[in-house]
Amino acid sequence: MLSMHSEQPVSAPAPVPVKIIVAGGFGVGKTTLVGAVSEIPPLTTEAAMTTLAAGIDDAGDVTTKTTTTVAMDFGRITVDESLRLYIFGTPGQDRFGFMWNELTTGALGAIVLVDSRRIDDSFPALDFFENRGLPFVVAINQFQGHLAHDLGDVREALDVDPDVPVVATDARSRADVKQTLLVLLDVVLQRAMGRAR
Amino acid sequence: MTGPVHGEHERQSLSRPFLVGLQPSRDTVSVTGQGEAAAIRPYFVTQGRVHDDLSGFDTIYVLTPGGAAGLDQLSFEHRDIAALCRTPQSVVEISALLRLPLGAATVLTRDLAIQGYLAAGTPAVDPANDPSLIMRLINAVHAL
Repeated sequence: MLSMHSEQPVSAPAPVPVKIIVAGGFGVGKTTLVGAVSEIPPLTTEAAMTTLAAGIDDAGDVTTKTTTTVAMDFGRITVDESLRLYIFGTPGQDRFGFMWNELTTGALGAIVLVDSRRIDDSFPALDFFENRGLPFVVAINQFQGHLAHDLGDVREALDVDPDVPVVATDARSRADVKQTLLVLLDVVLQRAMGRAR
Repeated sequence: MTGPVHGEHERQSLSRPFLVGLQPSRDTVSVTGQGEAAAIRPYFVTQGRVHDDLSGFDTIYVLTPGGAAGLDQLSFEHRDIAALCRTPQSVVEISALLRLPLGAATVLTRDLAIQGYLAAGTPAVDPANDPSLIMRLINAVHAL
């Protein structure tokens, strides 16, 4: 028999973490979406981010180093004892773009959450993920349970590639958010299998 | 574009990161009685070190007990983190649960990992190119 004499429990290897990003404009429902599928109530962490660390690499460019404190909400899904999925909601405004490099490193993919009445808010996120080559889906949040605009019209206005899924979702609905995640994971899987071939 | 947006939790343009903690955070007061003190101490205990020099220590790394003895000799903050990690916690969770700014939580957590009090989990090597890992995620989301 093993005795439990140690103060420290002998633990299994820590779970491997992976992450998915939820981006979108202010008030579009990112935290609500995270909370709809997270096994814990969404937590908030504050990060001080410097613009200098944001890939301004041009030599001789003496930049003023400014720091912004940004709150990120996140949730968690335990896949099994060796794998955890973290879902990060991140501010989508232009001026937060500098933090996305850091945040999206190692991310599997992203959901760009869009309010169809304010689609401009989602352009910075769309541009970033397109340039970065990160798989993403566009999810139009259905406020008051219905879409303010036709999905096809929104797709046209957003001008995303034809292979980027554009779906309607209700950020409050677990079933809807599950479905949105599955659409994203399918894109991620197709891409992984395409590369493996 | 939209006009100036207030809120979304950000505070703008402090010139030095280590001064961030000196700003009273508008929401530290509500959750625990320790909130106000915690607003200052993190950058004191990190001795001004901020997140910039922590490349390679990702904020989603999950920490478990590392087995080193002498936890009782650690600072309060280090001890709190070690205690929290008796169940595996990521750096972001440590940051949120102890109300430490992410940069400070990362510095302190890495200290503990280097000293053997915590063991940092292995990051996924290349999850985007790992179909079996992605299938496990798909199955888990289906099962929600």
